[in-house]
Amino acid sequence: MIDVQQLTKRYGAKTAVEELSFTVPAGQVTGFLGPNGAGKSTTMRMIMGLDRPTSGRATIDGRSYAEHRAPLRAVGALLEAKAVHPGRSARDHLLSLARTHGLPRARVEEVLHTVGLHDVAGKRVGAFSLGMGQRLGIGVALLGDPQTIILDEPVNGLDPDGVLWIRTLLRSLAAEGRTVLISSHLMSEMALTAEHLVVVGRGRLLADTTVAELIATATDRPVDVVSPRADELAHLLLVAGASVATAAPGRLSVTGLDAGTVGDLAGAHGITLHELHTEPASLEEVYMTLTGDSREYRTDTSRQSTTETLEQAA
Amino acid sequence: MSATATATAPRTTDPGHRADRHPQDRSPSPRQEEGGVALHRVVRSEWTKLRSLRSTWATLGLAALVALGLAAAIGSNLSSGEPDGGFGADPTAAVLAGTGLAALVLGVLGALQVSGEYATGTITASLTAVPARWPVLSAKAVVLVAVVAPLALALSAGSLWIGSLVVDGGLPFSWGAVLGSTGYLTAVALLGLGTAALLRSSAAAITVLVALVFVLPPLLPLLPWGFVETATKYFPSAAGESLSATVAGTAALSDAAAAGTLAAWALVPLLVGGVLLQRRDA
Ligand SMILES: Nc1ncnc2c1ncn2[C@@H]1O[C@H](COP(=O)(O)OP(=O)(O)OP(=O)(O)O)[C@@H](O)[C@H]1O
Ligand SMILES: [Mg+2]
Repeated sequence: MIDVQQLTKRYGAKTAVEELSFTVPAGQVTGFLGPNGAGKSTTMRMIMGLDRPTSGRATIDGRSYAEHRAPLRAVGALLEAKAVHPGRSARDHLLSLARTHGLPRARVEEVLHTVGLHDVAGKRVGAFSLGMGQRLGIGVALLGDPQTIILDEPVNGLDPDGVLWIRTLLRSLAAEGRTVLISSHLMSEMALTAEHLVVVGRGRLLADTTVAELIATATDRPVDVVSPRADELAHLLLVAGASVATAAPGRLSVTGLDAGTVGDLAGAHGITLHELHTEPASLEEVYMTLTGDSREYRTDTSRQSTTETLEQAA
Repeated sequence: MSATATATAPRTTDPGHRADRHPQDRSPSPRQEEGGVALHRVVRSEWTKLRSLRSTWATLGLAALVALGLAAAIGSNLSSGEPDGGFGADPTAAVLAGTGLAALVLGVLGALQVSGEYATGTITASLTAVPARWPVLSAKAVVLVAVVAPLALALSAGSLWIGSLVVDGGLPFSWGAVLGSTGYLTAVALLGLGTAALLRSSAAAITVLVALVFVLPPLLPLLPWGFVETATKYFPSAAGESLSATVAGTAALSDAAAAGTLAAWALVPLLVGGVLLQRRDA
């Protein structure tokens, strides 16, 4: 279990992480989400004892990272892709890390097999593709067969096969009772891999929830209604306080009332409905709404779509 | 490669080590203590890092080439009666002066041991594996000395041997001069390591190293202030030359003072670099 308590990190005037608290339980994959610059990497570096918090504390299974006697056996991490000397082979890189803990050479070979780099293990890492570098980084994380695994953007640069591979790997690691924390700024990827979500924006906690709960928080979804007497229904709905848009002739998009109320209202006035359903919230939309105000770096198009989402939700 | 098979592979690796593990209970088992970080293990790790880079061997080869080549060139120059750069009275010291350039090459090797990790991001992995941090720098120093000191001894003795072949009338073999030169080369290698630990950038560390070892010593005496001339005696190269001197009166410092000076150049930047490594964000 990872326990983050009131963690704050300032770089001069810039606050990268602010009073952040959350826990990452064992036995499931936890997704750590947030837009660019939200403070995900900084938080992970503080958990790993690489950056010193301005205040607050992070512990892994009850101790700070540096207090673990055999840190690689307790926690494995991938923090930067391809953070390896380009002149060194993948095997020697893993071996040099294994040596610090007295792990046997056989363990290095095993990990090379696990991450699918065995055939190129003797090649200089400088010649590796981004995906191969990423696999090596994951190999480093798995080296000590750790109870806790922390990966910063693990699917970056992986091809679809690789993405599937890592998804399966992470789920099986969690199923073994391990603690798995992975960051991403892609909700769609997290939705497929993680059960638990920690969402941050501008260094602050926005949500600590499950994927299912997060979708459920999306209230006020537009209700889609198709009726031969759409105009009449629209009038009734407006009177009942909803806002109504005509999506197509005969098709209304209703916000402010739920599908049940819309159906009851139509029934009470004998208006037949051909279709009645609530637009399901896509996780991506919920996420955009959630992080909308906290995006630091955004393009005009992303701002626009965020605003649209916000308006739809409103 | 089946994803499931690969995904479960790590479990098969260490059958005993966590059979009784409960997810929430992570009190260290004996196996874990056994697999903990220890200084001798970090030394092995640093040796693996150093030996696994081709550049290490290229640098060591270059140092050998420079030292022995210059010894031969200086030796034959002495024989031909050309100007001797002030070493006229002491041909042994003159021949060993060729190791001065080799010192720089070895200093760069020491610097790259640290700055290469910052440049490539390897430092993150290193400090994650050894969160106490100081053992990383200590182990680097141990490995550097273990590699450089024997080479420096061989190059110093080899330089004198080559000198004795090319200098007219031969050269007296002086253990004092050989050990002095060995100490100088080793100290500059450690100076490179310490400077890089302080500055973290290869370019900055090598610039400072070149300035200290090569550029400033001949430049400072040209300045008008008296204290600068005194300071010049305590530069690494001057202390190294004092140790290599075999003729009375040519050494600017006593052997003890010169050895102390070299030790300070070798260790002070390293210690300060170690303290900063401990304190700074990685
Ligand atoms: N060493 C540093 N010095 C100054 N500012 C920093 C430093 N490291 C991070 N920051 C700032 O802290 C904020 C958080 O950065 P961080 O890298 O943790 O974000 P992130 O969530 O990982 O983003 P991304 O999705 O882009 O990886 C950013 O605004 C960043 O500019
Ligand atoms: Mg990041």
